[in-house]
Amino acid sequence: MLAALWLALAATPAHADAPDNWKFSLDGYYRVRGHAFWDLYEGQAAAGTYMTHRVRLQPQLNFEDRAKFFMQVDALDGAVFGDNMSQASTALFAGDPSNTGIDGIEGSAITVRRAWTEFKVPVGLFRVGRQASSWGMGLLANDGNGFDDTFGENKYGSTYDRVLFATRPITVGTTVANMINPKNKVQDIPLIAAFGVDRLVEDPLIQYYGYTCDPTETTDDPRCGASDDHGYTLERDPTRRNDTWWVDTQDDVYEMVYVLVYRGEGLKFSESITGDLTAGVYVVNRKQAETQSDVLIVDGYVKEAIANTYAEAEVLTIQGDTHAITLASSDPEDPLAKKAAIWGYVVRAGYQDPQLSLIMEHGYASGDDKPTDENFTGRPLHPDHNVGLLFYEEIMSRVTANSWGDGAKGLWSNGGVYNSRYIFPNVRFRPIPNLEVLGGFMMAWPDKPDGSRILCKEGDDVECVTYSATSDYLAWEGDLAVKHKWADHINVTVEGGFAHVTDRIPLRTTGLQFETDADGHDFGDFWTVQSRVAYEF
Amino acid sequence: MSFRYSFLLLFAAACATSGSGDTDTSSSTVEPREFSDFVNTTEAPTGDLTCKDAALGTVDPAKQVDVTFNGEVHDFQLKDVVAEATVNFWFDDDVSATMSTTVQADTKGAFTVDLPACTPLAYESTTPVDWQQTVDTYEVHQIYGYEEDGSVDGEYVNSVSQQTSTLIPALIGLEWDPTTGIIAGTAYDCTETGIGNAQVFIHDEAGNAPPTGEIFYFNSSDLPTARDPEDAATARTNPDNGLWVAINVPVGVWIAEMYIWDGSTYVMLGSTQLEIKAGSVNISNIYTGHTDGIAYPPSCLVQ
Repeated sequence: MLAALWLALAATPAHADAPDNWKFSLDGYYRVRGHAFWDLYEGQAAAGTYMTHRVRLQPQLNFEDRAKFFMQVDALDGAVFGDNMSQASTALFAGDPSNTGIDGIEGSAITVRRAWTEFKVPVGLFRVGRQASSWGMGLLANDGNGFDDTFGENKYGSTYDRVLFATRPITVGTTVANMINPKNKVQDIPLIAAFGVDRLVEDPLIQYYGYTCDPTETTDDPRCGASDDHGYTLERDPTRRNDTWWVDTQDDVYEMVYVLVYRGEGLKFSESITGDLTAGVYVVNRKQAETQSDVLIVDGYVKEAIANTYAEAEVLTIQGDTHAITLASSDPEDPLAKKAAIWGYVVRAGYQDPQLSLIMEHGYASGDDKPTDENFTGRPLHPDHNVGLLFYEEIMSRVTANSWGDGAKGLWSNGGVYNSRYIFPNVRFRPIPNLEVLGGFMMAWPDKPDGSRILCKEGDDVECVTYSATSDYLAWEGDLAVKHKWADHINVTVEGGFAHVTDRIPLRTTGLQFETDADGHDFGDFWTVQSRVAYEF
Repeated sequence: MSFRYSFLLLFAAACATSGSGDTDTSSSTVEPREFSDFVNTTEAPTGDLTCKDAALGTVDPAKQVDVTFNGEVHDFQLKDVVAEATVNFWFDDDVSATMSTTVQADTKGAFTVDLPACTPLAYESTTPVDWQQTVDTYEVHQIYGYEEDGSVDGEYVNSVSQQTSTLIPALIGLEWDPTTGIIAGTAYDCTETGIGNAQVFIHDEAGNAPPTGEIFYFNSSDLPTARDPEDAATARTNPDNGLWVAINVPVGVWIAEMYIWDGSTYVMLGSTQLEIKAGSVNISNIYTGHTDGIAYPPSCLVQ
């Protein structure tokens, strides 16, 4: 969002008398990604392999840089190669492939994922519609665009129905001052301010009550009629919504977005030292009346690239009160009351030049050792912030999914950094401009072991039912990649990784491959090789 | 949690916690568990317990006849129908014996089977493993009442979804070892309402507690909770529901007993016997005044 806003605001706005001049452009890519995993699941006899597609089309209509219309259309997104829905009744005679995802569910061939318009007004820019949201390093809001990860692939992407206004307040002031007195030559400061509103829910399909009614039990709750029968929530069929489903404002979920960012480019620090400096804060206030939710998200970001040094950091916190999470606590008076207190951050620093970059990365996502108490403290980092190929991306995503089950999908990690802190030193070497060789090492430690997804060890600062783990750390992982680009558009990547997972992770009970050491403790060794072939345009 | 460290301190802390080696190889010995590890409350029970020593009545043999059971398979938690489940019955109430009959529910979860009324029996509901939909669910000591017209309608058998079996240990903070089983039940009073402040003790026929198999109780919102040392209510049944669950109970035959504190001593209100099979859930309720888990409905008794 930041880069796009900056480009948009920087463009010259004066085209009032220009002739009608539409320009159409098309960006996007087609990519195929191949995956091979050895010994991922318990009992897996041979390497499991699959390949997936994605077509991403991003057409743009541009009227003189004053008014633009954007779309993002995804096709065959995540569709696994082959006919996996028995479109041919005899598999051996299969011909036409299906659109089956890796979850085994048939997907739609084409999805219009985003569509929005952007237009300039004298003091700023409006962006209205279903649009990507991205901030900083993408720990909270990550657009999932492009091939920007050191290892792995973007799979999700943050999209919001948003109305946003952005301006450069100091630029407006200096422009006015210089118009009044051109001799002043008041210097501009590259500061962007933005304000937006996101409509997250007009009417939730799952009806929220916040109290339970059971006609077979006597209750003195005056909210329960004699035949009312529901839990804290009740799943509904969309066909049973009445005509006024959109009228009720109590169940609406919306958020106010505030952004303030300084972006200094080409700053001159001395005769020979120049660089870029970015610093800003992204504040979101999310609300829903019927669940008494009032949550404040504060996300700070800073980045410097001065001479050959590079440093970047993002820290986020989510604080507030809600009754929306129906994992009821033991509090008889107010079992759904939850207080959010979530933290996450990533810090990167190192050296970079056109040929070589040496980066140390460290990150953290707070966990929750008691998900049913009144404190809600765990949330993974955004799943498109990739750290390696295996541990977070494949192992923890499966462990959290298998442990929580379909009933608590909102608590899955989906591949994001989960309830842990990690280090991830990595190196990138470019022997020639279109060839990169990358290597990385990741090691992760638990934050708050919960006994189900991260097992507890004697001495952990948490109360657990059992303390079966013996390792201090969760896992370590090594990754290698070679990335090559030629013919201007073809992008080929081959990546591989090995992860050693300790007895902190319940591999045995979540269906993953495990071995047992001489002391009777489980561990797992996992391999993957993955590849990407993409045509970018 | 609080934001405790600066970036540099956090970085250093993450590196430091790696310790000096891969794993701690020290081993710990597991102490055998005793009655007092399970039963230790001194809170007075809630519920109608007046039938504890009352006569149970006599079963009328004339009512132990075959009836047509028109039932459905229901999800244990959501009460939705479970389509195309297989239901196996043991008319002798012994799941280790040869199965008496088997039936498959239709796409609406409905099935019909002839079974003996007023007779304790056991069933298992199951769906194919590949569906990843349910876990094998056992319920023993089931008794369907006598009907004049020879037809039992409106009853159902339970099926525990994989989702529920996954979520319960996850909420407690425990991993379920699939070589063991789960017991879930309700501590019932004389009106078949959940008893509050009761505790459950599991042991084998020799009186020994199983080496694994922690017992947890549900809160007033019907969610299982880990025991909180600062909240003694988490270690006994909640008056709102009387629900309890035992996770990681080894395979074998076990006796589950329900105790209350009467002000001076622990009193056993009732018990039941069950057999655990690996990877399954066994629904076993305990009724006040019944030491075998068998509670005949009034229609089965000599009037």
